[in-house]
Amino acid sequence: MRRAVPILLFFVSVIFTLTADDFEVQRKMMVDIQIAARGVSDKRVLDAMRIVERHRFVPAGLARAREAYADRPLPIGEGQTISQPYIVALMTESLALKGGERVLEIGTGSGYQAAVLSRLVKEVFTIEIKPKLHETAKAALAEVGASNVQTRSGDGYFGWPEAAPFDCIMITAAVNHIPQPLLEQLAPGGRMVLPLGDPFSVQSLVLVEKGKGAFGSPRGAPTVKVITSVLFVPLTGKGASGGP
Amino acid sequence: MISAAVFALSFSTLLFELSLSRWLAIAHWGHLQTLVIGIALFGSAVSGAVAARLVLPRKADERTVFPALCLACSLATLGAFILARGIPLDYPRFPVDRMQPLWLLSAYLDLALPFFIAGLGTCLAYVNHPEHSGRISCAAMGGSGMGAAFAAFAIPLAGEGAAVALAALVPLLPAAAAAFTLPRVCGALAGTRPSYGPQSGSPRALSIAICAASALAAAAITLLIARGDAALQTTPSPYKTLPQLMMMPGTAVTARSESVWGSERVVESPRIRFAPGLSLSFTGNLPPQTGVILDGDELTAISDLSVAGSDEYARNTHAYAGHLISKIPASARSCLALQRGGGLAVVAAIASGAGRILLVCDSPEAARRAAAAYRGSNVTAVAENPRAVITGINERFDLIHVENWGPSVPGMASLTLDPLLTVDALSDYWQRLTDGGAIAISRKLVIPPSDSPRIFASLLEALRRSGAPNPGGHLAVIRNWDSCTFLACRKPLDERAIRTLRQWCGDMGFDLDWFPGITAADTNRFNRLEESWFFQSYAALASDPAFASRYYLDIAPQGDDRPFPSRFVRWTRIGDFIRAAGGRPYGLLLSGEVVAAAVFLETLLLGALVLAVPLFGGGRRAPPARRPSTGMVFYFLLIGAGYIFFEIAFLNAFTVAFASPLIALAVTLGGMLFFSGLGGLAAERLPRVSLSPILLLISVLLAAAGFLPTAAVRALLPLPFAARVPAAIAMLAAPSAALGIPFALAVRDLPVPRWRAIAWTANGSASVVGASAAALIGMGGGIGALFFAAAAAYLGAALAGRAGLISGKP
Repeated sequence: MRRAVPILLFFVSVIFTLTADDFEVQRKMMVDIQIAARGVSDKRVLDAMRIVERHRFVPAGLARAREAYADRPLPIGEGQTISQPYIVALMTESLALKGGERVLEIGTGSGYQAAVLSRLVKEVFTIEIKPKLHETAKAALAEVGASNVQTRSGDGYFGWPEAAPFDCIMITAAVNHIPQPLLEQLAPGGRMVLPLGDPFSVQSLVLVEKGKGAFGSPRGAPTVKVITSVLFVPLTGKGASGGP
Repeated sequence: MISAAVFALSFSTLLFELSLSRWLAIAHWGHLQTLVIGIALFGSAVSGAVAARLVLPRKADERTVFPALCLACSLATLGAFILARGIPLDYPRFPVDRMQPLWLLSAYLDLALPFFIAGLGTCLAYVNHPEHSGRISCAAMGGSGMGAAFAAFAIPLAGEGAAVALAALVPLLPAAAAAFTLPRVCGALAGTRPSYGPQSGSPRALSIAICAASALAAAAITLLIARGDAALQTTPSPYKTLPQLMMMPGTAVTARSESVWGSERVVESPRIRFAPGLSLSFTGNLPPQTGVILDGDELTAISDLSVAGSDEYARNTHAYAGHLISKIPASARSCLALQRGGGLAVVAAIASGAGRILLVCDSPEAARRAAAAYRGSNVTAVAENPRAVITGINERFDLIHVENWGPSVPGMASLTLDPLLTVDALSDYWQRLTDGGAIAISRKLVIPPSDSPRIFASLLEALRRSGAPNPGGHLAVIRNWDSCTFLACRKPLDERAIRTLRQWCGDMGFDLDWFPGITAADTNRFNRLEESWFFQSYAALASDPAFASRYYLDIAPQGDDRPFPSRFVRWTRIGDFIRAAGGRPYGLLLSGEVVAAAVFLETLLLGALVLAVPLFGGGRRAPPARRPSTGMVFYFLLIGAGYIFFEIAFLNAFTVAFASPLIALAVTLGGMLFFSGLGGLAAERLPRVSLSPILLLISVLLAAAGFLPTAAVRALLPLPFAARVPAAIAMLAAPSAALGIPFALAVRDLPVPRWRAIAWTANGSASVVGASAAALIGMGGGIGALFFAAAAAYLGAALAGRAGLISGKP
């Protein structure tokens, strides 16, 4: 009996250690292997993603199945997905955040992106059109203590005029045109990022910058940069000629 | 009785097959539609394997066996469908949910059950009555053909679920009738003799039970149909446009309609805002829009232009470019909008003030709504196959605008036949332009570059065919950040047109990726890519047509014989594809070609297993018999494969001719099977020695058809719809009748019952594998390749038959 107690305690501690650190270890691996290794280098973004508990934003079944930190998008219900960690990091990095920004997110989804942003900026405003998703995300954001995030259930097309202007806007829902009201609510020199492509498949990002003639715009009008997150095989040269 | 049962079972299974095909396309994903033929043939093949191992029922028992099979088939049809609706199959979750492959397998096996039971009935008929193989073949094929034809009416009118219920109802009629007419049950009232075999009675209680159960089942199914029961309703996949839209507050379906083109829903929602290619310089508002959604996914937006100036947004999209450079005064300008979803081309034409606008779309509801909404804007709207309109019309147009935005990911629609952008289609458009006219094509930008380079290459090829000495001089391409418009002008673009385009693109913030004399400095100014990928591909294609063959994706222009505009996989460069997708292979998992290849491997395995059971399984209770010769087995394998290759070749051709998969499927299956049934009936009277010449003749005819792969399409397209259907069926008549002979004639003379079951299994197994192989051959080699493959299969069958059948030493 006296021998059994320490053995039992040993096994309990092993199990406790494994379960307690499991998500943290997975998060670290996610950042190192999936994100940093692919070229995302903003230390603040990497640190934020090491801290925010992604498993709290995915359906419980997927979290239990150790899928939360997998290198892929995951379904979160209502026909929506939580983006692949790399895409979250890339979108966040592309906004070049310094810390004092006010950011509007269109399409709260799971709330994970808003939670990451909350670690990097002054204020986050996030709108979700689907009431069920809004409620779930609101609860998850509260659970992780993202107190500088304001959520709203509504149509993101018209933005959040009362809180405008925003230094940055992030659209995480599919759009076939960039809504004019959002461009209006973007501060001069502000940056807007939106994904291009299918959430389950190839995605690259579109970065819109308002004014200041960025990207060589001749008249300071909004300019668009397509950030190719995918690594194109060159059209000319090796790729085109069949070389290795 | 046996003929009636075989007829009803075949009718039912074809109706079920086509209903399933529609249901899978709407409730799940278009790619899974390809599974249906495989499911049907798999069930059928397994029935042969089981029949070969069974102690076959005596002919004396057939009068209870066949009604029982009919009843079982009926219950299995409805039960399998209802069960399948409950299976949590969700294809896009395959990468994240380990249960999904299991759910797919469950659905596959579940849905194969009715086909298995029906196949068992037909197989037993062949096994027990070889002397009537022609009659059985006629009943089976004729029933299938009529089931397919009936489906073309039943599915649009009643919906997929109700059509499944009707399919379940059909076998109950012979089941109840046969049981009721048993001599012991009804005595003198039912003095009919059995069709074949010795007259015999059956256990009275069993017959009464079958009769009562059939009547009860018929009443229950009729009630389900009459109530429009929820168990029969189709719910679109949650990833599709309609369910996504319905989750938005304030959204409602205000009208529904069903037609051969599909199931349409009219949706009112403040969240419908369709304006692809809209300039960031546009500061106005979009007009209210109503959505017409075809099959839960394809959205056509109808704009409310009742307020003056509400069409202004369309002038600020790159889709307007064709009107901008037209030298024909707007009031005299004649425009043709060929629309597959969307709705921008017609508004752009209205905004330009065009004097005549003909809108052609594949959605009757969208055409009706557009005609009503744009009544005062010189718009005439028709629902037809755009290709049929363009080949059947004599009018010429100043602008032909093809609005077909396509998928946003390479491969997502790779199994979809879409003949609007083939080189043949572009050549037809070219012929219908006035001297100063232009073609405009609006598409999404697909990354990695794949779709756009193919369209550019196709336009170059169409211009070369028309004799243009410098095809690139006629083209311009305008894009924003996610979509583009191609322009192909009848006359080479002059300085003035180029200046106008450059000025306008500068104002709108659009990029020009191609115009005559373009340099790298002209590109990538407003919507900046890391490099000018699209310009580079256009420049390479314009200067070197062989560039397409070196690119890591297949971007070669396609003709009407291979109208798969969204297929890009080059199997030898698959590594480059994955690297191009950032090392993420999900795109591949969603690509139709990869799905088709996986299905092929799976069916190859299943087909081999199914065939191995009767060939190599001992079967303690099976009657002792020699093994059939390899020649015999190959004979039936090859005619099964040849038949399905022929079927898919015509299916692809007719999809181009009708622009509706349902109509194409109904016409192809209905026509082919009906005439094959007649061929089978004729086979009953043919001597065995005629088999070889018939097979050789079939082979020669199919090989000849391979050299003219699109002859059927070109002949059918100019005909009005009402004439196109009978013409298509007439086209199938002679070859289908010939193709119906080899199975019935050969199985008739097989001396051992178990061999007849093996013949049925071999034929079915080859059809299962052949169906998935045909999908790959059709995509990779085209309709011609399918004809050649069919010819080769029948030639092989002739050789195998000489060794295994015709020699008389099976």
